[in-house]
Amino acid sequence: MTRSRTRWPSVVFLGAALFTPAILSAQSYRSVSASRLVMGEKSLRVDIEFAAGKLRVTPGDGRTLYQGEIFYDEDKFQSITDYDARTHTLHFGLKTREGSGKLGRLEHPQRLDLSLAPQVPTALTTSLGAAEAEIELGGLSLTSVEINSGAAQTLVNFSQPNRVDCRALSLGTGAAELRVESLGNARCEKISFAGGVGDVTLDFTGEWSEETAIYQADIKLGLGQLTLRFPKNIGVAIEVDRFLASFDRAGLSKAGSSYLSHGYDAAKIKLHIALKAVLGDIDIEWVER
Amino acid sequence: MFHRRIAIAVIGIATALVLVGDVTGTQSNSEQSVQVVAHETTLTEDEASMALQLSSGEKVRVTLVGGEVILDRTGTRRDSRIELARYELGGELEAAWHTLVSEAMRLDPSETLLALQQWRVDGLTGVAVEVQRKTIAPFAELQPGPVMAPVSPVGLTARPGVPAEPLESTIANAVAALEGLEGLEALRALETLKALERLEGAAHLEGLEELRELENLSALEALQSLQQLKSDTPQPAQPLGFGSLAGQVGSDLFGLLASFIALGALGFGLAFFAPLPLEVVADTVRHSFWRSFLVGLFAQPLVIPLFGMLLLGLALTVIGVVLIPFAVIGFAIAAVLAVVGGYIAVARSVGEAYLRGRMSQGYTVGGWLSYRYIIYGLAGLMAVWLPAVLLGWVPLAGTISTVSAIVITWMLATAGFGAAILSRAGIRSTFTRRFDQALSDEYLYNTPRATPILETYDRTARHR
Repeated sequence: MTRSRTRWPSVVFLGAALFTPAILSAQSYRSVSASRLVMGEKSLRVDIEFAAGKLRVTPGDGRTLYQGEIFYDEDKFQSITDYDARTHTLHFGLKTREGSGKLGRLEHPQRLDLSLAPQVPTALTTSLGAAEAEIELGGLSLTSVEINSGAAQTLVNFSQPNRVDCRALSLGTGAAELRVESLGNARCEKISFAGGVGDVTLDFTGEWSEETAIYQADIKLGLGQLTLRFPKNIGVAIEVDRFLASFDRAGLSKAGSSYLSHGYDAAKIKLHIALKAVLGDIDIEWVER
Repeated sequence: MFHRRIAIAVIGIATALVLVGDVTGTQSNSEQSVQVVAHETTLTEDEASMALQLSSGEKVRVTLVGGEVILDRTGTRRDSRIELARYELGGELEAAWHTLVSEAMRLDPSETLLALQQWRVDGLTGVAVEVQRKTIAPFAELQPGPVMAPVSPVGLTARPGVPAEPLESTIANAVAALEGLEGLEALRALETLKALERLEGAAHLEGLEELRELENLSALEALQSLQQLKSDTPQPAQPLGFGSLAGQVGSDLFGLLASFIALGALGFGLAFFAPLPLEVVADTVRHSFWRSFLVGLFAQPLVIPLFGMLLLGLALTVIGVVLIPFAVIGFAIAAVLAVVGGYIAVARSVGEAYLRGRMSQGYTVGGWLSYRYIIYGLAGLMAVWLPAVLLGWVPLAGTISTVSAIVITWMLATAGFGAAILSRAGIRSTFTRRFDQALSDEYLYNTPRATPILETYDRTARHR
């Protein structure tokens, strides 16, 4: 008994001596960059994967197909800067290094900056982990967009109209705060959003293309706050399927099984929304444009 | 003879020019074919590398690490890695290279190549100058790729022209699309028609056979609502005839009967699979009705916050997020079972009271008592809806009977919900009937006074 009592402090001391340097050792950071000239590409596929940190995506000046920079902790993460010239596919980002264990706290915030050529038709896919993302897609030539975020704070902005027609815009969040601004500029025929838990704002303002008469949106939210911002110059029809979720009908009138906005019939642009929510609040705001 | 010489000379010069042109052309083509199209940089505290990607697929990388200048050539048939030179760790050359790599991160490949080719470090002497020359030597002969002019502000790309379909087939497709559609889909199909400018002038459509088919479609309701919304004039209420009145009452009666059958089936299921918990909940309602009602009343507003807290709690844990769908389904089933099961338990209690009363008057009641209790009870509880169904069309009486039926049903369901909570879904029998003294007395005959069974007379012996 006495022997074991005298032994445990030495065990603790030995353990501390072994593990303290590992804990206190400085994290080693690495910067990588990649850039490529536009060589007459007709299309581009971009897959962004970002595990943790701050992400920023912007339109470039058109001289480079892409230009990106990543700053990260190389002990725990691994950068990806692969470009397949045959398929015109860029895989860019940061993933967790296998066997890196618990990620812990980072001394410096990791970041990823990527700019894309505005004139090249691009299919963009983004997967975010625990990230803070600022994705500016205004002025790009996007044929499709898919953004999936885990536990992220994400701002997606279409500050300028898309240069080409976009087939689909797909947004997915786990437990996240998501704000998408000027969705009208995205000019995507189909917009879909699926969220688990979070605070979500979908702003449907922007310059909608009149070439597409009816735009469709499919919105599904599990738990949280959903704010929908509509410009008054478009006609909105909403079909709501909700369970334990409040729905603000401001500016809408019931017609059949749908809610229609005032002036729906006269509007040149029409937006049809299928909305499903389980628990939370659905708020609607109307803005001039 | 003179002309012949001139002709030979001209041919010779032309041939020479063609050959020279071919050679120079080949050279320029070869120069153009291998250009720098991309670049990559890597920078850490003790390593800095610069890689240029050539249009041929080859990648040339120079890395300064650990005192060595290393050249890697990849993307060719024979990848190679050689040491170009050695440099002084922590010296000016290393610092200048790190600065160059850092700056190259924000340059395009052509600018990077230019920066490499023009790289000079002031103050270097002797060996360091030679190391610097060797470091950039692999890039010295490379050609920059073509650089596009910056893109002008947003100009929309013209949409390719779509060949127009014949109008008749387009209308037919749009009309056909309306069939069986509801809600947004119907609205969308209608919008397609409107886009063809055929809906506003119905005369255009009247000539089509498909219009008659539209009459039975739910899409028409959406259209009518749309038109009503547009005109902003509410449609006058249509007075109901006797036929439609009888039809409405009949429909409501059928709905009531269907609800009775559905609840009866659920009651059978509960009585078969969980007879004891159902009996305990029913007994709790019977013997602690107001207590059950109050518990149910206070529990109702807490259901949604509880659900929210459950989901929030799961969402805050990493593993819990995965369980959210199961938690949602589980909670919904539990809540519905508590309310509907509680209501059935109330029905059982009512049925039991009624049938026991009949039996005490000497009437014979058949077997399957537990199931009979439920059916008789449900019939009794749902009878409160009969006045609402039969008198629903009468202005005041209809409203009163409907409101009464709603209130009574809500109270009974609340009591059942509360009883389910009090009895922990029929597990805990604390609030059920007390020990029946009359039934016990016969067993006390000739029992010694000190027998412990007497304790059951004492109210304090029961724990609540």
